[in-house]
Amino acid sequence: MSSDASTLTLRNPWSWYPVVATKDLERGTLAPVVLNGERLVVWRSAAGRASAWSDRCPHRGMRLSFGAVHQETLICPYHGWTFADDAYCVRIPAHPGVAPSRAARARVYPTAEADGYVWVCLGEPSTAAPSAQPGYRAVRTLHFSHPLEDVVAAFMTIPLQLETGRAVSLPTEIEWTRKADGPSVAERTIASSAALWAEFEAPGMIVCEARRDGENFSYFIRLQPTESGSCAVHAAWPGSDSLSFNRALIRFRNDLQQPEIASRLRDMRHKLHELMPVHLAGLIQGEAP
Amino acid sequence: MTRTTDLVALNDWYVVAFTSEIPKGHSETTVLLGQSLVIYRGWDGEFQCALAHGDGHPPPLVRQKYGFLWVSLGRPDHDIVSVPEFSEHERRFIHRGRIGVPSSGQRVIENFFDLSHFSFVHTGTLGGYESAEVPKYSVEFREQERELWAVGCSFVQPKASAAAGAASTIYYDYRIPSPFISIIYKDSLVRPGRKDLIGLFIQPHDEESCTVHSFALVHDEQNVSTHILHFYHEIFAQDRSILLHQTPKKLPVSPRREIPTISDASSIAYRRWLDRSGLQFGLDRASA
Ligand code: FES
Ligand SMILES: [Fe+2]
Repeated sequence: MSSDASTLTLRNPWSWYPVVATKDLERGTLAPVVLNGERLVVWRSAAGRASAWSDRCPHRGMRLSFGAVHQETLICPYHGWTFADDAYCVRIPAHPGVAPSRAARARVYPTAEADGYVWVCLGEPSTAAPSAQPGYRAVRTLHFSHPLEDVVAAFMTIPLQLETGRAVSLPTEIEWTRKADGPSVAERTIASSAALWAEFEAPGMIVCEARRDGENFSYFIRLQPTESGSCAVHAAWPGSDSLSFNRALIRFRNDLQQPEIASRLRDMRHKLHELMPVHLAGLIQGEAP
Repeated sequence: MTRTTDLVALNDWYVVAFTSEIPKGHSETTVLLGQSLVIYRGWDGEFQCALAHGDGHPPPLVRQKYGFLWVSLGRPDHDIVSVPEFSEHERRFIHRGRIGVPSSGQRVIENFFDLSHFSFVHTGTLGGYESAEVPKYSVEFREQERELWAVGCSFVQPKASAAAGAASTIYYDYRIPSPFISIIYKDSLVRPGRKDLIGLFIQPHDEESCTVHSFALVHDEQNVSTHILHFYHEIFAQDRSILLHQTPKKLPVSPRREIPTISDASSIAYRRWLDRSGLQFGLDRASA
């Protein structure tokens, strides 16, 4: 599979996406997640290893996320087939003396854990798993019932506001630059008293630096395509006041419902598309591959 | 919803109602194989069934048997399944109601004759964690391959039925006389040597949803029907929570789609038998 920038979209099968924050997946637990329409079960063994598998038991198609983690294994709730962390079935309770067939294996996806998240790649990864951004802490995961492209446009053009009770700063002037070294775009928004520098680092990863009343703060936004028409936003920042960051995120999501902003977003989305270098157009078009 | 064009499915008989639930002079609408139907019961007690949207198809055939109303949308080349135990009067007949399931009828049938889920899905009643092993049983075709049987099944059950007081090994035979019907013949706990029957008549609405009409013919004079029904509903709710979360909802026929084990001999035979029958409806025929 090629990682040619000309075919990049927001939903590459060769890219890594965060699916759950490390702190939200404790030892001995599991979580059902959706990545680009695929249903996955993400689980962490008692020893701490995280895995992501198709949420479908190879035996009779039951969702494994209804099962249970037991030490280093995941157990299906239907017939109790027990899968080791390499996804091979190691125990079929109906036949305690029989070694399970090698075909009895759950579908495994490349999984990595870095920087406060569990990352999953649905295909053949084209790059090493994401590395740590020192100083940033995963704050929370928020589900948006907006198309992924609108959420990208929103984070790239509207700064988060840490203070309550202020109107959203809509961009008045946007200045685009293109980074020479590969698929990323820098963008600047200037409102009356706010500014935003947002950079598209990799599919699904936006680095933002916002200024408000002379004060700067930065944050990372990682986007997880879920079902079509919605996405999950994993947000991280270096500050210690996660409560105000958290509130800012929720306000941000609520503000996207305002009709005025929704229509602005449509324009921004088109503009982003227009202004993107040709080889990046797919980043914003973002149709599933 | 569109009516299936699958002749194998159309030429079979299906239960669409329990006759005493429709009062004289009343009508009811329902869906079978994607076809909307209007059932009407006249003042003489007789039933009529008409297509809600005619579209030039022949009128459905209607019969009453075993207390149920049976319909065929096609030209069946065989009679409604024969269950002689309905006319033996030693057992008590219990109508176990109808329950909707958002899955294919075949997934429901396969779950019904599956022994290896008892310990995990019906823990404490039909199975226990300590005794999950499934003893060998055999699979047979009878009536010129018209019927599939799994015979000599046995399982250690903590509470095998509403009448059970203690754990015991229960012996079963499963009969699958049509893709959408299964009947269990189970040792009576009350009358040793005699069999209790529990049966499912599936009414497939479309390929991924159905109604399960169910009955029991039991040797149980002790328990009132509500007690027996309560036991059944508890069991069925547990099965339903599995059926809701299986994918695909249609039953895969290729052996490479889902990996079986020894205790799945009946499931393997059921899938092959459905495959050979030429049935398309409710089956997932993707190869991998
Ligand atoms: S479906 Fe998972 S063990 Fe049977
Ligand atoms: Fe069951």
